[in-house]
Amino acid sequence: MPDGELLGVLALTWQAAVMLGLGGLLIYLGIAKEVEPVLLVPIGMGIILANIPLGGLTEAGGLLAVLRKAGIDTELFPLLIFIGVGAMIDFGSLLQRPYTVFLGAAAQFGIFGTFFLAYFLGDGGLRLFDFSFKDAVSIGIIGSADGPTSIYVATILGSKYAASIVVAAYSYMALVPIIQPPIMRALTTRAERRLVMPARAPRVSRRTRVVFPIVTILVVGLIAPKATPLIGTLMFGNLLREAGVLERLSQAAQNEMANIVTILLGLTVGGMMVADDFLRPETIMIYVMGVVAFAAGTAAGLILGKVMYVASGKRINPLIGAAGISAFPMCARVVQKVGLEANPHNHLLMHAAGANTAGQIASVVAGGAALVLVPFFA
Amino acid sequence: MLNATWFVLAGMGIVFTTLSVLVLVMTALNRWLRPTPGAKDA
Repeated sequence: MPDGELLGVLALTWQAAVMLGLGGLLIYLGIAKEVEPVLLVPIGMGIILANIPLGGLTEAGGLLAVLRKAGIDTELFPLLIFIGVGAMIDFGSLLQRPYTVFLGAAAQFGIFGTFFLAYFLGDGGLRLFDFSFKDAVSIGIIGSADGPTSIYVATILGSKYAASIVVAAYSYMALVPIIQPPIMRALTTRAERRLVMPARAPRVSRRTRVVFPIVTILVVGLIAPKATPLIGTLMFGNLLREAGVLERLSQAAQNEMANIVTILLGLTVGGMMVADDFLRPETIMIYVMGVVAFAAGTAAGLILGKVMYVASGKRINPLIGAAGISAFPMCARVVQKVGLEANPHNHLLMHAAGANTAGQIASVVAGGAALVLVPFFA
Repeated sequence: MLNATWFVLAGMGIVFTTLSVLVLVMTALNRWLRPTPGAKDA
């Protein structure tokens, strides 16, 4: 046996040391600063485990390699997570205010606008970065503000930046309260932000809540079939929640299953971040693109919100458009907070929750649309 | 970049088309399956 295989420290490169430091930083942020600890701690630990020289966890047969093959390459983990997410989401606010769906749709411009910019900086124009068409689409999907969709699309498209994209997507979800408010204030007037919307909304029957997930699978699946795995698992989870007779399964999906898969997914994503693949200029640009994606999605939602404000005769507060990106429920809470700053009697939470849950569906549709369209345009 | 432009337009088109149909479906569900007055299913 060569000497180097006895002592990992002899094989430690500066790149691996940087990655070990990055893993430590994510664990610190998760535990000490409570920034998305559920995700950042497993991801941070995955990075450390993957980058210990000669540890063998990412080699064939190693734990992280097995998890990647079983859960990421097969797209299993993100889909299982979506069952849990569906079981956690209450679509009642959306069903009470169907028009908020359009705010979720508009916010998906964050995906396509960022794709355009990434492709322009890469193979499509300036060639400053090694971004192919498929890489650019995968980077744009960060704008879905939806971790499972980001993993799913980036994996299916075979992007070499999948790990960076997933980490960027999850990191920026934690930064929504920092990224969104300045954009919200810049694009709306104080008078618009002060607008009070009525708290009362039409009641929604239990039958509607039960039928909604099934019909949504049919509508989305028949128009954008590539989105069927994502929308199917999301809405299956929601059916467990709304059926009223599956409480045990609903709780299992929300808790046990979501927690177990989150641990495995976090470790695996962290394990994909090995020094050779991660320490590149493209990775830094992907993080810049992540901010662009969230900002563009927020701005697009706000602009449609302003259109609705005018079209409705000043009855819709444009701030709720910012909740169209699907980081749930952070965006809705941010809208509530910014609304309250402008007017202490302005409670926009339920309206924003409608746009926010619409964003969840819209991001899945956008991911499916991207997968359908890539073969035609790439 | 022309193909990228068409990709963006087609993508946003699919998103808005799908969600427009969903709005119609939700409106129809709310109309056809509205809560029965006095029932506990709301």
